[in-house]
Amino acid sequence: MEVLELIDIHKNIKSHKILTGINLKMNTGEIIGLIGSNGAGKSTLLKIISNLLKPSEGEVLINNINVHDNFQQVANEIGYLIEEPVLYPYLTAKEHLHLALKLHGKPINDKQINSLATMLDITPFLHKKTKNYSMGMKQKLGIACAVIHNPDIVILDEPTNSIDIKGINLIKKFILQLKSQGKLVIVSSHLLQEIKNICDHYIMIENGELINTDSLSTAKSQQYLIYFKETPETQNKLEPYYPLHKSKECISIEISHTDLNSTLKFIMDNNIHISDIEKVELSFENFL
Amino acid sequence: MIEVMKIELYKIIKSKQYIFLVVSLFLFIIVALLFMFYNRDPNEINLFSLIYQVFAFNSDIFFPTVSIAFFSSIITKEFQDKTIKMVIGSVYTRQNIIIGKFLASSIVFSVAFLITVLTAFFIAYLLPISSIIYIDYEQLGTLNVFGRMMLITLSTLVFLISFGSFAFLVALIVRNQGLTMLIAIGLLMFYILIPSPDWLTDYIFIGKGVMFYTAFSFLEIPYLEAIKTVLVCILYLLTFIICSTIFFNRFELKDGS
Amino acid sequence: MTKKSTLTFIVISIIIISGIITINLFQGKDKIYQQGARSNESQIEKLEIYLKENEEDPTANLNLGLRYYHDQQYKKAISKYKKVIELEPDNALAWHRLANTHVLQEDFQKAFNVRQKVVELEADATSYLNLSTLDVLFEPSTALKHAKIALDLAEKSKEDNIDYFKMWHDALQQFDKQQKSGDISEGFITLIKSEISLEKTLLLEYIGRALNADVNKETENELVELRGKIHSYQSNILDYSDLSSG
Repeated sequence: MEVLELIDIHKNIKSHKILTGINLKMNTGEIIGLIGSNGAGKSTLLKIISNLLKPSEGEVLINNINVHDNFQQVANEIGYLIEEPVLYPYLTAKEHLHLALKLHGKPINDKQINSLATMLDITPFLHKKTKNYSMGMKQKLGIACAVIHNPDIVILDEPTNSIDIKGINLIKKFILQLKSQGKLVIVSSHLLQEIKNICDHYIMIENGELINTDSLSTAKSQQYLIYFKETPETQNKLEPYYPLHKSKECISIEISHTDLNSTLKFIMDNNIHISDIEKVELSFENFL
Repeated sequence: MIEVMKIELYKIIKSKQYIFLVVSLFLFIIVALLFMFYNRDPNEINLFSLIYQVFAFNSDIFFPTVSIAFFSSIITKEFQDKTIKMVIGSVYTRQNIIIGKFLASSIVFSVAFLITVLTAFFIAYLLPISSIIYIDYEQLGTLNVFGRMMLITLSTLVFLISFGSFAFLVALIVRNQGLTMLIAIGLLMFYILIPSPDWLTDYIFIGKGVMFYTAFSFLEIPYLEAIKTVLVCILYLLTFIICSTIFFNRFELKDGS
Repeated sequence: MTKKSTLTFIVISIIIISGIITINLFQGKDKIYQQGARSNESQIEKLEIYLKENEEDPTANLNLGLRYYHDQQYKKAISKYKKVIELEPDNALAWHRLANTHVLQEDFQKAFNVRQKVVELEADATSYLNLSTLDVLFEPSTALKHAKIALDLAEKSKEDNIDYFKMWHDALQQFDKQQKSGDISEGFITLIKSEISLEKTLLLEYIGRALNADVNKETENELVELRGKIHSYQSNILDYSDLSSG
């Protein structure tokens, strides 16, 4: 059953076009994997679906209701964990779940809270204040808060962040369970191979545009690899700004074609000597 | 709105944000009271003049500063912890969220303020005070003095909450505790240091504390003037809250915030 | 914002603004901040209006008397205090304020008689001390006795400012000795320098008495200078330290 529809979504921040003309339809009982390089517009799209951002143009419909005009009518249909879990340091996990239920106007149901806590393995921490939690624990509680009010659509942005292998398997299992309950789950992750087996469909965003979802396997994304001679000076200049890949006597950085101009300018400004530039075409499979 | 208010009250109580409020009010009121008492000739002090001194000492700068700090912290803490994401994903409209937050903060502030002033009154009542100045305390009687003190307290409270609503709006716009305090206190100091024209002073909400403790110290209280000032404060309060809701309705969560 | 809440806001604002306008119309131009200095005058006006209808209200009469006193309208003040005494003959506060007013009018004899009445009605330390300040003008021999009673009463009732009573008692002891040895001017100078707060007129009277007795040139110059300072002093009540500190 179709539950979420995006119609011609555009988002501009100042003069930058973050998203251009996104059209999508999604159904219940599906797990959608959202992929794309950093800065492609994944988080922006998820924020627009969750009403944290308003689109410059276009509409997001949940059960045919416009999210941005009537969010309160659909607030109970959507649950999200975007970027990082947001928690009150002075509340315990249980109090957070109570608060999440109250915020959605639902009665407190301890049975439901306990079963969710067992599923996400947070029962031992249920009565501890979150300021003492590890990142992994916070992440799990963040997911619990996103789904406690039983929404139809669950949006999880980087849900496996800071979680160990055991935790990742637990979350995978949990996402599958959400699917079996007939929910639409939208997952984005920069380590998508961790959850690749569970997704029914993938959506790829590159440079703010949706790559044709019907032909994902042939979709391409242009990337550049820039190589430098490995010297401490070059390393010091680049390290704060780019993730470095090291190989024999040389270091390299990987950038998308949108960042090429700014990166080259940075390199020139800092007098860094380039050894080589390589253009790579990444296909959808490269993300998996 | 009531539901949001209950949730916000729960959060204020759990976060113990009220402790800073109560401690600073106690510090300002009780310390001022005892300081005034022990630094003056006991012959010159009576119950009313002592209470009057406490308000005269605090109403211009200290009380508004506490109000600014408390009301703005309610907003900025939510942004600092990024928990605002959780709140705006709720079933309540943004207008209800802002008004509910404001009502909850006002209730906590009022309760803390009333408790501190009442404690101060009873401490003052127990102090060995005598003699007559300014207003003839013997003629007024304790009940009358208590009534006057309550009127000063309530009207000062309206003034302080209107200040709080201003801090609320600034905090929503700048989302930074330090900057909000700087702007709000800067405005307060500007008003105090730079004399404003007479026709304007009546219709500005800043610096109204002096009006209330002066008004209620007259033998015959100028009620009309006091009511007018309270109304001016309420008008500002409403305007600030409406501006806050309009601003929050348009609010978008930028990256990293 | 919904239409409903916009409308509610507009309605409430209109009500508040019309309230403010109505108050402005009723109120006239006086502002509370400016009333401080004028408050005495306006209170006098209000009390006068009130007393036209409630002539027999002792509290209002007493209040108006005090307002006249602060406004230096001593005759009117006296008539108001007399009215209170007529209504409540045992009202010690009215008698006390009446004496204060007579002192400021330099009518010390009347003030002395009234102070004696105050002591009858309210025999406390302050009443005796006040009486002794006038005793020195009319019955110097009883001044020390009354100051002693004042000190005893102050000690008995554990007044906070016992030192004050003691200071005055010691000054009068000295005064008594100097009177007995015929050193009248030195006696008054002792009282003037005792640092007891006294009415301006009474201090001037003490200086007058000292000057009337035999004084050397140096003391005379000192007293004349002091008299000049007292005349230029604003307040009605002062003590020697106010003058010596400039």
